Amino acid sequence: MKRLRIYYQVFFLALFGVLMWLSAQGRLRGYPVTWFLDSSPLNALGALLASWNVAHWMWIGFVMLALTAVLGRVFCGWVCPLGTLLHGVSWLAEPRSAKERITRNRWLSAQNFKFVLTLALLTAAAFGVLQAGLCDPLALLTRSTAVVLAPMLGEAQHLITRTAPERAFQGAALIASVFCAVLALNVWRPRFWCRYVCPLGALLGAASRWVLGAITRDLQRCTNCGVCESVCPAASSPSSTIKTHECFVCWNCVARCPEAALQWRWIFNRQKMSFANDEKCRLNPPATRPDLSRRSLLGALAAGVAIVAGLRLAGTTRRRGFPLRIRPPGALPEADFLERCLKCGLCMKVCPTNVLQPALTEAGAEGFMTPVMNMTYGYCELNCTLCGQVCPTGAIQRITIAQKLGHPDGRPIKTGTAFFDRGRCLPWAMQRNCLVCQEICPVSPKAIYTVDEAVLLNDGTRAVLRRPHVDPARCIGCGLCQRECPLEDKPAIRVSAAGETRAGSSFYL
Amino acid sequence: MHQAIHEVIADLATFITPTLVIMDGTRLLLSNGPTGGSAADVAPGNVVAAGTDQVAVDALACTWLNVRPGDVEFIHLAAQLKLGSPDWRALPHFKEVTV
Repeated sequence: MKRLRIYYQVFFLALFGVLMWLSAQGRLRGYPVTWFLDSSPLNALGALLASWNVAHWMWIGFVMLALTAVLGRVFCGWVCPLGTLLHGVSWLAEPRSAKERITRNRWLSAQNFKFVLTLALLTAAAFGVLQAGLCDPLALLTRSTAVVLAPMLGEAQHLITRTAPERAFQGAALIASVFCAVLALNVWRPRFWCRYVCPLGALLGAASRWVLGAITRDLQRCTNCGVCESVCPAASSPSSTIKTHECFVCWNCVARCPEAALQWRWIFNRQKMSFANDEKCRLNPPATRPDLSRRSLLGALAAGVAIVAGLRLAGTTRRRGFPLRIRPPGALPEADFLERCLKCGLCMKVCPTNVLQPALTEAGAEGFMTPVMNMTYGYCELNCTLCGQVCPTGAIQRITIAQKLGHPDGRPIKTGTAFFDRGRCLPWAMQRNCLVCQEICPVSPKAIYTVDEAVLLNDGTRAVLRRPHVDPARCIGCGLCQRECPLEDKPAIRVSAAGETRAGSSFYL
Repeated sequence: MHQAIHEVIADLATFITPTLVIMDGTRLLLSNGPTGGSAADVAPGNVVAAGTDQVAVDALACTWLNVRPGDVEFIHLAAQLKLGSPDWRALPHFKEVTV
């Protein structure tokens, strides 16, 4: 069974890699690339509490929760791709000495922190602030892959073949640091993240309260040799009362127990089990719920409320306080968007032009790491709706090209509006013709038009200049003009979120 | 490059003198180009020009787009640089063929 578990882990990690590889322009052909994100009940429950909506495949998370209620945290031990990665690092960093390994695998009360974190995150979600995705392991791994690992592979390939397209992300160093820390902490404690932090693990642990089968210890056979403690990655105390809410059901202890005292057994009737004290088999019933004080639970609720209040202190998140909060086409109105966006970064992974970037300050504290368009990196490709196709929660809706371009009603989806900076634009400020933005404007009819004006030049001669203007009724805010403006450092035409379709009417444009 | 587009086009033409120039006017994008043109902006031209004088072929193609060759500055500049002649009708072997 232990070998089977390793096969499962390798298979799911490879599957995750393949699905991420498929999440790119030219490879995405309706494959269910969101299934790993969907399988997390933390994402599903968080999004449900925040938005009262279960989108697309998100129901898989509730199936996983039901499975956990029967079998325990098998997801952590057998499926989770981040868990497998951390398992590998922990295995590499394992000390030789059994004594030292036993010390490192001892249960610590700090492991209860993850339950408090989960409760706080879900409380915040119930008030409409969805931050679960920041610490959900699947969202974390997807985001790290999209923003750090895949671009690094691309750079490595670029060094060899000189052909790979470059991908770059703002704040990549930040995401890389978090990911490296999550990996590195395994050197100190095996599967540090899963034991102490992972809110998904905690949610699954809380669900395993009702398990029907678990690894249990036969007191008659156990010699207290401690081998199980030296191999338990979950620090679930297999040598005493095993903690089912911590156990990954990884089978390490069962495989290594020299006396076969540890076995996976059905535990339909726990009460009867504790009295099953005959001479042949005397079972130590497992603990199936974390020992949390009422105070820590109240603290978690308070922390959840504090998350909501704290992230909204600036007061502008849900208003129009952020000109650079330019959301991709199909994004829901800001309040609904924030209630659904997991910050998983899959949209940034599939975006063919690299324009979708993780927000740092563009969308306020609440919108940290949500996707925004940054025209320094790319532009919104006219005939593309990939970001909405992969969004697991429907924060970016699945729209058609016709809807995006406004066929046939003539009302395209505006993500913002372009504005000229007449202090920098060549025909306005430098008395030289340019026309790049007018030529590149991809909408038909063009949103940038020119007016010929006779002007007096510095040398006293007269000239006719072709000066560009924006027609806000036609501009969709794609940012191609900003991207291609010859003033590369700070373009003379820039897009702001003004006039975006999703904000509804009541704007002067 | 766009700030002195006519000089740039003429200068680029001095680099290489093509042996044969072919201009395809089967479909003509008449407005909203080059990026924004939609199918509605395309007119059927159904013409093809071939020649050894790049300036002459360019001047001829201007007429397809309803532009007078005399209004296009880079054609003037190219003629000044002796890259060819904008008067395609005066070429010794000029011939019109209908297929």
